[in-house]
Amino acid sequence: MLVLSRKNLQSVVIGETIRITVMRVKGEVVKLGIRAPSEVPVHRQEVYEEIQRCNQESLTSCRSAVPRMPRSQQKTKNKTGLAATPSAGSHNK
Amino acid sequence: MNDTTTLNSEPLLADDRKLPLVLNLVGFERSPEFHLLSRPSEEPFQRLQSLSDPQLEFLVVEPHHIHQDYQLEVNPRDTAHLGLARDEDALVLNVVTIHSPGRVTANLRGPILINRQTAQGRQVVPDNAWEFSLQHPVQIEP
Repeated sequence: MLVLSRKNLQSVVIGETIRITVMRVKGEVVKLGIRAPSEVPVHRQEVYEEIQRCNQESLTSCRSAVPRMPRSQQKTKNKTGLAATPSAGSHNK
Repeated sequence: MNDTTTLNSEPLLADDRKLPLVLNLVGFERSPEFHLLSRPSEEPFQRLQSLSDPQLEFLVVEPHHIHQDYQLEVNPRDTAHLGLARDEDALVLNVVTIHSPGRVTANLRGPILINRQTAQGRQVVPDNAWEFSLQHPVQIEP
């Protein structure tokens, strides 16, 4: 693993398009600012891994017979449940 | 397994093209092309089946069947990547796991967000993901 030391507000550049900046260091918490093209997914590692695990479980359970959902639970569509967040630009993870 | 297999009865894509979905699913980035399959016996669940590997199949459900008020705060990076400008262009699917015949859960924390106009999608972590469970219980008939 490549290990680099950085101070507050200093960055690491990965390739031509990805830049990771130390935004703040406070106690045990380091805040990173990540600028990357939107086609590059950026995730906290533990969140990525728990979703990956969940996908893997769905995959292996797909062979099971699919239980029925009670009719009353099968709702008709009302809204998409989507709301864009106001912030834009770089992504602080 | 494809005896009763049909494409979703509702037009999934804007102009009803039967194109595969191009999806970036966490941990399965190497197999991006999927068909969304509906079987009448399994409704409202659907299946995402990989084009390159039919064994690669996920059970999914649209969230309005399992959650009353599922309001996602999608990060602008994701809407920009998918070119999602309008709510009505978004199709949201949640990955379902059958733990046992009596226990079924859906992942509400990492939904799959699809642009109906382009058939492109990505599994996202919304900014308010912490409000939702990875294993949201799905009510099933006893």
